[in-house]
Amino acid sequence: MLVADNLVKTFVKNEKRGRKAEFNAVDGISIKVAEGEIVGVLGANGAGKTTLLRMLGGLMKPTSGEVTFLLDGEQLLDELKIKGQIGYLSGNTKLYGRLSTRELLSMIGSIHGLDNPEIEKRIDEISDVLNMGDFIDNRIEKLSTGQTQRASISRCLIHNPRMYIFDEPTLGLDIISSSAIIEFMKKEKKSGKGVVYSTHYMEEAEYLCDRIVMIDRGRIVKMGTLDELKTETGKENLREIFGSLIDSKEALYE
Amino acid sequence: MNSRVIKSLYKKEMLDVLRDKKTVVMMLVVPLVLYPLVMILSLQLMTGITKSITTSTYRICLDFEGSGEYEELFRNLSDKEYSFEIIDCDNPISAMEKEEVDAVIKMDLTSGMECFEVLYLSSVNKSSYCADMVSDTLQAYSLELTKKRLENAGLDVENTLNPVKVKFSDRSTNEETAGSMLGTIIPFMLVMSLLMGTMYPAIDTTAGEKERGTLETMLTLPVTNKELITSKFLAVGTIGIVSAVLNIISMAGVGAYMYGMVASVVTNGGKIRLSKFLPAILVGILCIFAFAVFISAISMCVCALAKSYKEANNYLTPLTLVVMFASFIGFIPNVTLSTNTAIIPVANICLLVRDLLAFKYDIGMIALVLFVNVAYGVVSVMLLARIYNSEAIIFGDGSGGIQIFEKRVNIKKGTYPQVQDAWLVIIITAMLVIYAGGAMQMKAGLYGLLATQLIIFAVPFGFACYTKKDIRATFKLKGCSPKYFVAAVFLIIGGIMVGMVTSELSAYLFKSSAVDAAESMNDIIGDRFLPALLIIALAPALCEELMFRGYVLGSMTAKYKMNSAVLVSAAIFGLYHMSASKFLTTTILGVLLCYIAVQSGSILPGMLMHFINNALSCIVMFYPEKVSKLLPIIVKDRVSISDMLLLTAAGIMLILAGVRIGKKTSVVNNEKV
Repeated sequence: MLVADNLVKTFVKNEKRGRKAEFNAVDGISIKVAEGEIVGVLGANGAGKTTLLRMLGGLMKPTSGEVTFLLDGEQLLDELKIKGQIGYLSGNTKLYGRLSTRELLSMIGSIHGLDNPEIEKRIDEISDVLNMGDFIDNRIEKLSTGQTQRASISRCLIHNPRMYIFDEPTLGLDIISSSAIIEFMKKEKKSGKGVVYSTHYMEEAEYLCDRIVMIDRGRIVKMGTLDELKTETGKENLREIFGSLIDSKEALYE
Repeated sequence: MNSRVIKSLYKKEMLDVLRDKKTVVMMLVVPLVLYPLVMILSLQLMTGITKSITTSTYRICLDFEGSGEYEELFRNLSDKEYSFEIIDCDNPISAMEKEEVDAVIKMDLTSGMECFEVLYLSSVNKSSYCADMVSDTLQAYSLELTKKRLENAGLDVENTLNPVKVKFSDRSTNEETAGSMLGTIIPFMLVMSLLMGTMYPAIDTTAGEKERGTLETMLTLPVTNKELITSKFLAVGTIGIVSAVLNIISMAGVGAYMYGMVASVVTNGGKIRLSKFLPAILVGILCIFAFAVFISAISMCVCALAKSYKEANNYLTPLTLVVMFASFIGFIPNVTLSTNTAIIPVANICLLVRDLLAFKYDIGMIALVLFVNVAYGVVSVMLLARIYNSEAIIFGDGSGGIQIFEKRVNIKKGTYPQVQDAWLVIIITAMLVIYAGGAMQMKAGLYGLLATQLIIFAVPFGFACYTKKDIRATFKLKGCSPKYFVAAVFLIIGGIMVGMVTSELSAYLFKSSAVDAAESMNDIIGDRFLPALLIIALAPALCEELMFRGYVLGSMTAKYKMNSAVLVSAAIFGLYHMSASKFLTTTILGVLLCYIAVQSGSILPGMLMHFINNALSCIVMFYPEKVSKLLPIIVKDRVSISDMLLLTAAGIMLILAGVRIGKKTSVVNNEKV
């Protein structure tokens, strides 16, 4: 289980007259993501989704608060050990174009501490699951968008993590590629993995998420299952709930 | 650090970099194909040109009475490869201008001597070569005549022509001669080839990675910063070394090709035993390793600040110039490797390699240079790790451009200067101060100094006005509580005491520089106290403060962390005094001035401090006797160690007191939050 306790991330903005203004991109968020559930993080642009997920994945250090990982009852505090249990994917993470997918996977595998036979075994398994046999030895820069997306996902799988963090993974993808990712997340959830992911697509979140976290200006506005949110707000669907909770104009202006 | 992680990252970096065309071209094609080709081709071109000059037939016109007698002189050149063709023409000058004739020769006998005049065109290659050949021929003719006349006079020809004979015999071995010649060029080539070799991988692994967006991928992995940096650094270093070795092999290959020629020029036909150079080569290889450590770390530091390939390329240009400049030190004959020069990066390697090739092996020096290079490298790597630790740099979205190049209508009014503008202001001011200010000081003495101060104020002020800055905020033009002035007095007295110690130490380190500075100052100030006080003390207190604590410090605090902003602007203030012996003292003074400016938010206490400091040195210059009666320690030639300790301790105490007094009160702090 991934546990975030009262996370705050402060950035410094340059303002007039050389003054520096501090603002909290994430302002005291606490969430828990358990194995076997999908948690969706929803919010307007600039709400703090990416910063939150980066802190959960250990890419950024929180200004205050702490991220821990409960692995079979044992609490992991070390950032590197936590990273070892997480597969992080974002829409704009690129892969090393001059390497082949196989080279990339074996590099990442050995960084995660797997030995060579184990890495080869995993690569074969993943290649089967994601159907990458045709292009696994081609340079990544030569791959099509869909193939690159599969290579990206394979990168998160190689070390068989307990938890996935996906930052807008379907952003800008066509229906086939995005549904592949959505189905992948469902399948991983069934096999007992936890997923926390952010998106702009309400229908996708409705279809996929066990719990939904709505954030605005770095704070949680509402958190719960879809049904809970519906009864609490009295709205029909997620889009309306979102509209009622977050004054979109103001949020976008921020 | 985990060696397994570093190994797999290193492997990845190497694969990544080696599959980049640009690196491979720089690493392989340039040294192995381009260099030899260029050198061999230019050599062939040179010999071809020389040959065509010496084997040509030159057309000349003898334009004087009785020229027939002399035709034989130009026709009968048995031992020369070139020849003359004598052409008759009516208008020789115009024929020459039409390039039908290469030179026209005139002669008159009126003075009783055979006075020749050779008319040629220096703008036409063949014509000017022809003039040389004619001159050779006429000189030979002159010598022949001299010999004949001496013979007729009954004198010994050889003895009369050469009454004194000098014979030189070179006691250097052939290897030493060759080594000292190679010693000027090899270090330069070595340094440049290493720099070129590391540049592209350095860009590729840092800025290139950022541009391609793969850095975030790396951050998702259980990899520490140090592991990441170390692997990148190892990869860049490896490629740097490989490309340097390839460069050297290729140079050696070209050298072997030209061996015959070089050997005969250097040693008058003697043989060079290459085995003698073996120790030099072995130590040289160590040098390459040490320098590769240094140069890869430095270029990576520079590139890591850039967001894109293009930006990194721009950042590397000044680095290249600096490295080139430093490696020129190897060409200066009387600069030798000493404990002082051994700490200058780049130059130390050049001097060491030069010494090695001249068969000077000083184990201590070799060890020192290697150590210094590795130490600089390590420091740079640590700096790099810090850069990579900064989320602002990793996730940042690029820095702003220089504002002065924007359309003025687009510039927002009343803003604060940006750091890019500040750097431009610093560079422009420095150039004006060095060239215009220097010239004016030489011409107008004290008033030139005043003009220099006005430049220092005018550049940032003009910039700020043009870019519509908030002038009051930019230059901190506002009042402040009197306590800051009290603090300022404490700080400056303490600062002067510490400054006396540091300038004593600096003077010990850089003897000549201190003496020069004192002399040039005495020339300028003249003999009237009041104008000198106004120009040496008051003008800098106003102008330099507005520039350095106003414009420069302000724009830097807006961008950098407070400590680095203070240190950088103080170091610029120190550098601006353009004297190695003053640097440390002025930088410390700069830090104190920054402190009070930051705490008070006003330019005024700093002006007071600056004035006190400069006024004191002005008083010392004009009234050394009176000062020596009052405060003997100030004018002493040599300050004893115990005095120094006392001064330092007292100075630091005063500074600490000043810092305490000048600290912003907590009320102000709360207000800000």
